[in-house]
Amino acid sequence: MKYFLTSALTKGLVGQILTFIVSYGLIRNFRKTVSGWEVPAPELSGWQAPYDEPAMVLATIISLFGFLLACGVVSDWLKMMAGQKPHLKHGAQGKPEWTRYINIDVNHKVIGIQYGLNSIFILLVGGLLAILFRLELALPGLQFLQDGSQYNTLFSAHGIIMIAAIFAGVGAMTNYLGPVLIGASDMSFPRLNAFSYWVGVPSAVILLAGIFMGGWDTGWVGYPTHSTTTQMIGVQMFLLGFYLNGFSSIASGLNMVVTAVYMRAKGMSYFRMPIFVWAAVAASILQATTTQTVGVALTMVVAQRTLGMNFFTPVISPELLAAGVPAGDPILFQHIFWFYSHPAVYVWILPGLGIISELLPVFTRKPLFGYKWIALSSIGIALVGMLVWAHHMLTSSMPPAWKIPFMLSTLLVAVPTGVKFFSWLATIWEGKMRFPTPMLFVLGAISVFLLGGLSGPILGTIATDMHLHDTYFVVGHFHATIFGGFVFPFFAAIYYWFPKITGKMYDELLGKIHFWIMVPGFWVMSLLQMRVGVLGMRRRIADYGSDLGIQVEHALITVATLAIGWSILIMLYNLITSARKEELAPENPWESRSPEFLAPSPLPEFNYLAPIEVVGEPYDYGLEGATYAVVPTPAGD
Amino acid sequence: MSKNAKHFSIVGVAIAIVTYLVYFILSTFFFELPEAASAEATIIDALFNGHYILIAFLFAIVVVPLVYSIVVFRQQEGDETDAPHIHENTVLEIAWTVLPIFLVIGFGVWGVSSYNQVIASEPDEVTIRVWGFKWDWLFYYPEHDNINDPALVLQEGVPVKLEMQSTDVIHAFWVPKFRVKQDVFPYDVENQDLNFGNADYSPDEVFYEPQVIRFTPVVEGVYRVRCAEICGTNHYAMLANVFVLSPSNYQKWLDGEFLLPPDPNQGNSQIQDGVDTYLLELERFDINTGYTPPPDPFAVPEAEAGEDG
Ligand code: HEM
Ligand SMILES: [Cu+2]
Ligand SMILES: [Cu+2]
Repeated sequence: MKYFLTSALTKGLVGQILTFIVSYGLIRNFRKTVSGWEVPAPELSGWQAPYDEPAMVLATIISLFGFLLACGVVSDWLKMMAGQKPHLKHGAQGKPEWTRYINIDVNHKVIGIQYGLNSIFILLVGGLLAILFRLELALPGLQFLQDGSQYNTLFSAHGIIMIAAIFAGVGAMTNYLGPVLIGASDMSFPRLNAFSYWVGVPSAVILLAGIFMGGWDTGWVGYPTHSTTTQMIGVQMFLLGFYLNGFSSIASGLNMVVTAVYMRAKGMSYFRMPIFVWAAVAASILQATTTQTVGVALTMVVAQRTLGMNFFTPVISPELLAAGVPAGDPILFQHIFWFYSHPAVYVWILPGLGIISELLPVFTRKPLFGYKWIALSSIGIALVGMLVWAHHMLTSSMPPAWKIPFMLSTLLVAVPTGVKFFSWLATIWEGKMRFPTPMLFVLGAISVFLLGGLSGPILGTIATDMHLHDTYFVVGHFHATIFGGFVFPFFAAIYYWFPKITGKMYDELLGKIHFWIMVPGFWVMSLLQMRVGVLGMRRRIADYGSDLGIQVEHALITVATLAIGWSILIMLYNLITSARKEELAPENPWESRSPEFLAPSPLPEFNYLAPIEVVGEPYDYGLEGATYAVVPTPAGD
Repeated sequence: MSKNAKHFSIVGVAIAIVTYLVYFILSTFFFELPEAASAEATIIDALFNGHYILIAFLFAIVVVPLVYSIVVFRQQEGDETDAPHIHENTVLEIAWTVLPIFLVIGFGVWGVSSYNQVIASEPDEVTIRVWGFKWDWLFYYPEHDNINDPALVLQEGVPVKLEMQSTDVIHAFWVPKFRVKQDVFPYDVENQDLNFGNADYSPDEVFYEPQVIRFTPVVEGVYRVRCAEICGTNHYAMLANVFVLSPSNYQKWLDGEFLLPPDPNQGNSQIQDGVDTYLLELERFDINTGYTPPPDPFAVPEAEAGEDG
């Protein structure tokens, strides 16, 4: 308890809350006394509360600094500015080992676990919101929610919170695995790495607070002119939380690319890197280069709401036009938003697809088929992914002639994605497959990602998208891509590296139960979502009416959602009890050729006891006498 | 080699069967589209059908080899050896990169031509102006003295062109049985107090170009416009009825002789009991004879009196 209260996490949260309250009070009273301005009471609805909106925005921004200063993640940099030369601190500083996870730590494995815990925590919160609104949707009519605003807040918060959880999960995988797999001792910039993680915490707090401070009803896309005019002022917290999370993305993306370029072990050429690293680099390039545009889009909405700068409202009032006020354009936002947000979906799935490619050879006991093609297809997906953004706008006010090129580029994504599927199949063909839990999740991921991929082209051709856009078909489509491309591979990775992380083995039976509830449950959920979408169920609605004849489907979707929720609890129970048991896991439980299994478990502070050297290809299963990496015996031993 | 030939022929046959089965399930039941009530729906549904075939085929060529490997090649009891060391085959890799490009081109061409057909204008089309606002729709009939109505009334077989605008935020016009959807963009948020009954309304006032959507309703009946872009509290209830009438009834409606049910959402009320409110209004409506208002509660109900006696 003592350690908890003095941890960086507690200090940061207290710092954030205090700075928010103090600065909100000061700014609000300043505005009141200087301009005699009173908070107008908005039309109250749902969970709305009358906040002074500009004061809330400023106080929220200041509260981020409150968190960062109080938790201490920037103190080394401040010392450097003051001319000192602080040393990187390693280890638990005399406290129990577990306190490292709630304090500032520069070790990439600690940061990876922090991301992982954060991700699971946020997933649980977002999942809870989903269960709430799935219960509401189980029957036609409004059940327990009072009005549409409450429903809108629930689904909007669910969306962006889940996205924050995915970014944290991607951070967990790239941070923990990246340096280990390339034989490095840490990331290139350990302090920046810690900063990337810690800046994500206050942004998650801001997003969560938005639910209670007004709520918002714009979805995760926040299109103007709805987002610029809505009375639900929690939208500001959504915009700011989303924005601040971007710092985490940009910094960690840069860090990963530099690490992969400069920190590889001796002998590890680019085409000898474990395949996951390729995927992580492709995702990191996207993160480091496209996040800025969504930052611009979100800033413009905040500026229009708070400062009255008109970017998006098409004003025609003749007096204003005569006065030289230019008209805005709502479609502008959609372009800059999707220019980032389509590549963002590839940031979510590329690392997961990398996990699939990484684990398949181990459990089929066969080399990864077409290593170079898979590696380059990750880069290909990333590049084509930057050219398709307006396929989210196929029914917008964009002129028809502009829609056609985006339709064609979207269909083209199928080519590099197909390369991945076919290479996986060729790896599996004739493989002597084994089916422990991680492999089950890999196969589940392939099957679910297939659902997502197959439902893509039909959304890409304009004529069919005119029917499907903004329906539950899209909801089914992107849940399948995200579960297949992120959630299931993430779980596979957790089970697979659990013995490496904790030194203990998870419980195989519980793992299998988790799998056999969750994957079929997901199939039911997402296929039925697609079906109701085809039949006319719109996205983002609190009630659908019985005239569509989709009540049975909706009830089943809710049942499947509840099953998925329970299976996650089983996983948590499994991981927690297994980590606490005495018995140690075998050294290399999967007979993997990967270098991390040359080192003891749990991994030492600097991963390998001596720098490893790569002497062969990574996936030469079935080749007599082949080795990938060796730990050279230190001279004189 | 002959062993491989056996595997490949089994897989090949299974792929053909699974493709057919999946296509059958998708097209006849699972992804069966709602009734096609517009001329455009026929074009779009043909493309849907093409996609279903593609989905079924791609599903089969991935799932069949996957399941076959799981069943046939899996690790046998007591076998701890590794599998054969096969790690690349350039011909195969080029093939599965290049062949999909042809499919992409095929669907690209079909996609462009179907879209062009869907948005093509007809010489005899009727223009109707549509306002979307939080959270209802209003329809103007400029060719009929700008009369306006909260319901969209169309004539069977006559192509229409909707010119749509929003007064506040982005909405989207969608009637599932017509298939077509178009976002409705705002043009004047400053001036919420639009005079909807203003007969002098002229398109020149409009700074922002109206969004256009065209279609030809071909089946008499009642349909529903569903706003498909999140627009705030009552987005879910932003509905409007669509009545596709026979030419003679349409004329009667213009003459005020064919009654439509009252719009449940009129006056921007909140639909507190969910969107089924819309269905209640239709109980007294018949597409051939129109709406029968409920009997005046204060009048002496003759028929009932007779029944009682
Ligand atoms: C590969 C991983 C993919 C992920 C993670 C992904 C994710 C998403 C998400 C999150 C949305 C919904 C956005 C929203 O409106 O809120 C979406 C929509 C869409 N996706 Fe994907 N997608 C993936 C693959 C594909 C593929 C392969 C295609 C087509 C070949 C595709 C085509 C589309 C289209 C056209 C839409 C817009 C549909 C509409 O709004 O009507 N996606 N996707
Ligand atoms: Cu996209
Ligand atoms: Cu609307």
